[in-house]
Amino acid sequence: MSDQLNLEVVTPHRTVLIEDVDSVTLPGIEGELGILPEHIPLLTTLDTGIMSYSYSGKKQTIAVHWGYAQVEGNSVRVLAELAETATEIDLQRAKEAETKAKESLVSGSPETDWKAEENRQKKYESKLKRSIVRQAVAQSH
Amino acid sequence: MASLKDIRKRIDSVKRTQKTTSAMKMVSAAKLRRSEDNIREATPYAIKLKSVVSSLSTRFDGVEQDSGFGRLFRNTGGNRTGVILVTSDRGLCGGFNANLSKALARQLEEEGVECAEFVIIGRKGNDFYKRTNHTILENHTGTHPEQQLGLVRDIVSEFTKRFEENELDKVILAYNHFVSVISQEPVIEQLLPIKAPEIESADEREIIFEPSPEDILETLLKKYVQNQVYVSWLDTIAGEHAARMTSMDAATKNAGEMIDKLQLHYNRSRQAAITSELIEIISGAESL
Repeated sequence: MSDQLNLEVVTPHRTVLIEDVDSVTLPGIEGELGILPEHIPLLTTLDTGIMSYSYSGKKQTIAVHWGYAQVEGNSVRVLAELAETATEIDLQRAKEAETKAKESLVSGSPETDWKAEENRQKKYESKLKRSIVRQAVAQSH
Repeated sequence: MASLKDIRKRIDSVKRTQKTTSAMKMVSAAKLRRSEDNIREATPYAIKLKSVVSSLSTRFDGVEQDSGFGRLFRNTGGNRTGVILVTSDRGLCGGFNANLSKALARQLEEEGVECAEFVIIGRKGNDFYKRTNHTILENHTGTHPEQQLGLVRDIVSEFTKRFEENELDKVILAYNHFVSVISQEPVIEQLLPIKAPEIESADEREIIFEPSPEDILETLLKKYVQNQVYVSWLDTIAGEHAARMTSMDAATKNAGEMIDKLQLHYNRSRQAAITSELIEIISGAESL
């Protein structure tokens, strides 16, 4: 069908989803992207964020953590490092991860080297972001 | 000649060995199934990543080789080689690891590489190469499946960095390709400089890149190299179990044959002993 998008979400470990959908929203690195059928070819890097798609009026969300999305014709391929659907996410664990990441950012012992400290902060920031995204996806279920 | 007791002992020992080999065969068969599943699960990602890279490969032609992603294509023709060798941790799988290590050693010799820098996954490759002139930078053993991807990322980004900084002229990957249960073949591939995959469809339509094509390509190509290593690792694991299954099957069969032979030998010697005893008794009785 030409008025639908063929959405595929794959990670290095498994295929998460293959579905015909009406529209897709992607967490692009430079902002959110809405994809509808007959979109022009696009290749983008994905940030950690919430990806959502809808078909026959229903909206579903997936947490993706970094990856690529390629839009070509009416197919959308998402190559994510990690992708989890709402049912797969352990909400409790995500919450714990959030508190832990916050703690490390606020009161963790800083590195002596300036560069190492920057890396450390980046690491915990991305952990924090990931846990927040996970929670948002799990709660939308 | 071995006494009857000795033969009996030997038969028992072979039987015990046979039990071990047939158990190992069954364990490998189960593990093989799981690792085949892993390959199947990982294939879609690998194929799609490759097709994304190849759909962009028109951009690789004539790229500047000293900046950005172009550095990954730089061909210096030099001989400083980095090697990622993927082997198994355990033996008892026929010539699985030895064939690969030897094939790699042969190729390095042909290319005139005297001292390559190795990162070895699996204990067996390490055992082979620690006796050679090559430098072993790291050896990773007993890696948990969940850590594989992270480890591959670390190894590859270290090599990529050194390649970009012109400390290495090429990086090669050696692993066993799982063709089928009865056949695995050593594969030696060049990772860097990147050999662009065949152009699938020269799609000349304008593609939107976000962020810039250069930024995307640089990370995308690195991811591509990483994925190649990761998939080859899964391939090797499946191959290892397949190889062990075949060789343990052969070992079980051989043990069976050996038991048969020994049993025959045992029966014959027992009969000979009885016969000679009888002769003794009869001749003793006759002399009376």
